[in-house]
Amino acid sequence: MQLELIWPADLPANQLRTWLREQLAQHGVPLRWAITAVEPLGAGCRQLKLEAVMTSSEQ
Amino acid sequence: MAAPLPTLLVVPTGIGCEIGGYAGDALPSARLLAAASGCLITHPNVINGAALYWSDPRIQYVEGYSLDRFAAGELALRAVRQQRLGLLLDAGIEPELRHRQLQVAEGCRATLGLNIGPVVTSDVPLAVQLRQGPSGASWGELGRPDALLRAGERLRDAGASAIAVVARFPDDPESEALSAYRQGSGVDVLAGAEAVISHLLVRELGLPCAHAPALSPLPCDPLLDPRAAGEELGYSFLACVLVGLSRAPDLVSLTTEVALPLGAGLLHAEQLGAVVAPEGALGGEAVLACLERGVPLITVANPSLLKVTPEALGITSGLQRARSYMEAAGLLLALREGIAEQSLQRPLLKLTEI
Repeated sequence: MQLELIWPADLPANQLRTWLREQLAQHGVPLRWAITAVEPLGAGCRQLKLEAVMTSSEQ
Repeated sequence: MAAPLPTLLVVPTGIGCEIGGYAGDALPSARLLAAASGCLITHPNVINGAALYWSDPRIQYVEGYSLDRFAAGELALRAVRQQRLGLLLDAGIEPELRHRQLQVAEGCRATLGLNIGPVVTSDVPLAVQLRQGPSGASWGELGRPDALLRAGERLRDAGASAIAVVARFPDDPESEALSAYRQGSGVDVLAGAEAVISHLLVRELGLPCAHAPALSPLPCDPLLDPRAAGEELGYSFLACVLVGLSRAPDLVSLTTEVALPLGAGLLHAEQLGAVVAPEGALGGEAVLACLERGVPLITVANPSLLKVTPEALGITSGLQRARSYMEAAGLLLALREGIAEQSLQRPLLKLTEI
């Protein structure tokens, strides 16, 4: 799956991993994932693109 | 020389890295970084060269999912003298190709002294499917993950302490993607599915694991890129996996209630002295976990499909940039010996008072 997320302005890079895992957990159990792009949206906003392989919580 | 500086080396799989995106072609770089650091923790994709391999006691062979968990502080690594390698074969491998895999295992027993066995075949074909993400990165799926896990459990229950998997991958000898890969461009389209297989087994069984695809041999290509050559020397990709796994460290969970002290023969993420990763591929979980715990980051100019750079992530501190893995080795040595990087460069700016 691919996920697009707006990077919270007050979230530093060294806290991204925990936040991203929380976002991914809403879609299942992540098996493998990575940020594949960071796109500026203007006014200091950034969009993260993630690609992930998820498993269901029963698997 | 100073004590080893445990260092994480990441070269993400399936994104077409110029160095490391082929048949173990990051292995020379890994050997150099292992010499500089004294202790290199890296994943199989970096050092698997199919028929080619190099065993270095300074290199810890740690599968990608467990590498992520280690960097996150959820696993520790315990050195072993020898793993007992269970061999898991996909029921979808045709008889002659299956024999080739078994002959590699027999050769590794007879010639290299590896401890291999038992052998288990999945009860149904695993049905590997290849995928490509919107970024162009390689991904994959398994039609029958349940069969993979059942076979893995049988090996574990029969005494295997590590698992080598051989899954039948789809042949597509006429594909443009394969042609590009063989000639030194494009992405390893198998890599993503390989990662899914090993990740699933490690997550569920907690054992070291690595994967080799079973593919029909390709016709000789006079234009074959040297970086891809290791995968076209024989009938199997399994030898490097067996060698690597034979001394892969045990994975010790740190998320149980049993407190394990630092030391106790274990390598913990707290001991990491550096992480080395391609400059544009910083978005994987292991690197992000290292950023969390403030591990010094050394980026290397190693182009790939991705542009997740320090600038993109807003990383401004704890960062050193290397133009090559040779330069990264120098930076690692300086870290290990406690030599300030600024002292090695010119101009050397004077001290300023704050």
